[in-house]
Amino acid sequence: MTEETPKAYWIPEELQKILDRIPGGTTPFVKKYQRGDKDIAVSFLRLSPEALRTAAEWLKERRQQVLVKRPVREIAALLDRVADRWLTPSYEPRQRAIRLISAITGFSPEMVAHSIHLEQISSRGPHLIKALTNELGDPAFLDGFQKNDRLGGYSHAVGPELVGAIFSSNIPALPHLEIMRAFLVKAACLGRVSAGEPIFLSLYARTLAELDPELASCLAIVYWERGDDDAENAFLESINYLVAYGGEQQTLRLIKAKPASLEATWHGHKMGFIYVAKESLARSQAREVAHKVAYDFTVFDGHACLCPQVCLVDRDGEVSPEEFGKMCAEEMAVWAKELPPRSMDLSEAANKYRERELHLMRASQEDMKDRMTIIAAPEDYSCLVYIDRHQRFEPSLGERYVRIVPVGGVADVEAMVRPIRHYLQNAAIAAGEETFSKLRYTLARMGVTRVGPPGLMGTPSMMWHHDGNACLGKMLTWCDHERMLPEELLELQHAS
Amino acid sequence: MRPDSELTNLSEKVSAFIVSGEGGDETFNALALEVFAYQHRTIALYRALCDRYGRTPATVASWTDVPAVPADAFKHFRLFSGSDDDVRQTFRSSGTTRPGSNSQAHFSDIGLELMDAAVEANARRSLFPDDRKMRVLLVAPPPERAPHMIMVNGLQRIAARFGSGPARSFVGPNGLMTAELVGELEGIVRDKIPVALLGSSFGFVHLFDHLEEKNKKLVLPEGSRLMDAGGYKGRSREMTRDAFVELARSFLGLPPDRIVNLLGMTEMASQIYDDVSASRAKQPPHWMRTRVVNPARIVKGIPESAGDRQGLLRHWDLANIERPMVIQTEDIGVQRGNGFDILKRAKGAEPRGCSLTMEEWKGESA
Repeated sequence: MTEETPKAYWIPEELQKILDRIPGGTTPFVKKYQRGDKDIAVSFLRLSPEALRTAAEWLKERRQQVLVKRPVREIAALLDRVADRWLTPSYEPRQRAIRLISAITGFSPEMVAHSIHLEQISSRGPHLIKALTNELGDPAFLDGFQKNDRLGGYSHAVGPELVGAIFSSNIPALPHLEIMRAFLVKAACLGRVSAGEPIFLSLYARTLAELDPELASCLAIVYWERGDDDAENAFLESINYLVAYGGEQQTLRLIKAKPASLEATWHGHKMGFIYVAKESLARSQAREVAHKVAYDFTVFDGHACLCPQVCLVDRDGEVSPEEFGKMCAEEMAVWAKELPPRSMDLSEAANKYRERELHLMRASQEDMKDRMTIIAAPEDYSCLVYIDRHQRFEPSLGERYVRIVPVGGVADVEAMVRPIRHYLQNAAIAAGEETFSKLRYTLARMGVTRVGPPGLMGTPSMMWHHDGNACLGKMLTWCDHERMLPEELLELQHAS
Repeated sequence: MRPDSELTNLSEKVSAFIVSGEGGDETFNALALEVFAYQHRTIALYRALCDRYGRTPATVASWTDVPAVPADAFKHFRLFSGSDDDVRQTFRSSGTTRPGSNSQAHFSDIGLELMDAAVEANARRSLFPDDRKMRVLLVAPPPERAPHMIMVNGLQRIAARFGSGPARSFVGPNGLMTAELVGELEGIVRDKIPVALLGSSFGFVHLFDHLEEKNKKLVLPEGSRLMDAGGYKGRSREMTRDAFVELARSFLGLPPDRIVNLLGMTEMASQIYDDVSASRAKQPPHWMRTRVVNPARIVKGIPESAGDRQGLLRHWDLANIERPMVIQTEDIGVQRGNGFDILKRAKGAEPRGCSLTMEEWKGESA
């Protein structure tokens, strides 16, 4: 049985017909992905600048016709139904996504399934409503002027007409997040799919279309080659809000290229870390903590901004950093059974081979013996666990390479992460209440945008202020209907 | 036995094998095990790596089981069997001395001598099978300007052994001295004296570009030959081997079987020429072996063979007597007969720590 060639794009049928009439408007082409024994062809659709402009105008019109007229709770309910489908193990597109994403990215099928599960659970309707409530007070502000007692009048929040998204590819089944955010503020969405994981978005869009073709018509997922400045400029000039994932170079380039008035949310490269304080190194607790630390290093094989780069462990706990490292290595092996490591292409394998051998050699250098200890280095690359006594933050290779750095308490932690404060995002802390609450203030001031216990690093909720942003609130423009003088308002509030 | 006399002794045996090739596979295996035993004893860092995998002279009975070091290890560690006093010359993979940024290969007098023997035997086999002395022109800097370059050292050695006089270098402080080189070549064409042109691949590309611009096509006298090495390294346009051969044929009038490419690396004392008679596959000389391996499957430190699929090149070089003999490269290649084709470099990955894949972080793809 020959399977339909997977598509990296989604264009509403009616829009497709319009684009087809533009000479050279759309160019279909096929990208081949090779990994191990598997070859997969994916069809892409490249849009010309004119086609991008046309699509943008068309989507804005659809937004007016569809999204603006729907109550936000109805939109959330639809997104909830989509999530429900994707959470059903027998759902055919889900199975197809697992198979294809695994073949293209190398993530094990178990990891892709796990990722779909995590991302879709947090896409359930109640989470979406709570996320809106968290940032707006009341989601109904999106539907029209609602009574706002604080100003003694009414308020209404209006989303942008069209959100332009430059999607990410590093976490399987995550990029739909930006479609949801756009729809929740009643904005249409035009996005560029990443060639790194081109599968999920179009399958997700198809589910949307199955359940609510009208809403799905407010979305287009397209592609243009990196470096196609004309297409990129047409995109940037046609959208009303930009959400961009990407590295520093891309971000700097887009900042220069975009119209000055175009507002944007940037998700650049970020780093996380774990700190295990001595209170959590009591023999009765350490194993459980190690299990959770190992999960954080396992999930997404270290390929997410959310993942830890390093685990800092207090030296003077009941369990030593070395012993804790051994526990981590054992727990890494446990997780590797449940969530097997990525399959590697030749280059990736070459990198992992080199890094592991260099670590082994480094650790056995005479002058490094006091600094480095290899705890576990299985030859199947399922993990590498080592102690590095050099207190310096270094980005890791990911890929389940666990660097454990012994520290002497909170002051050492601060000193170590301060130099990379601009990249900090996620910190997992296993500590007693006092240490935790003290440290979270320090980290918040440094720019860390999420703290929590180990084991949750890879699973932020919809309510998280992603990279410190009110991602929904930021896109909105408020209109307030005021009816009285400030002194009248004071009196009114005294009276109530 | 004192270590230096042990090294002398072993080096003489390897040298004799390089010159004669006597004993074939059996001698290769025996010598490889001896070199391994010597290196296991004298290079502590290498020993530690081997021991971790349980690969020691007591357990290893075949050259195939001798562990490798990654080529990059030469960037980070001192991998040399002798003391600092023994170091006569150090070659580096680039001009800088910043640790971690370029490979360093240390040689003692004994090691240099053995490398010379390997260079000479290789050149005789692949470049001067007619053992004919001729003028040598170098499309590479003179040694005084690039004392750290192992390729320059090798070219000098070839020129000294097979040149009819001192070799002239046509790379000056400002790069290739194209006008002078072309002038010299035109003289050679007039005088009908065969010449050996040796140098860097990208240097030759600049020469071809210059000749094209000047609309000049030379026909070098019969018996002339060209050897290029080092790849393009982004210093000229990249091209396939066939395209290079075609340009050399077209602009210098050389027959394809006189245009030979050499693969060398700072981490290795010997080089590998391609087979110009047929496939142009790289053919390791009898004192070397190359295997195409799959780094994703490793048992006790030894990756399995990639079979007929693409894999990473792993070289064994008996002439690497003072530095680990087995080098794991990040060159992607495929086995062809007894030789191999080199296809490309593995895509590098540096530490990650970001929300996107490494290529994207560097802004190179997708």
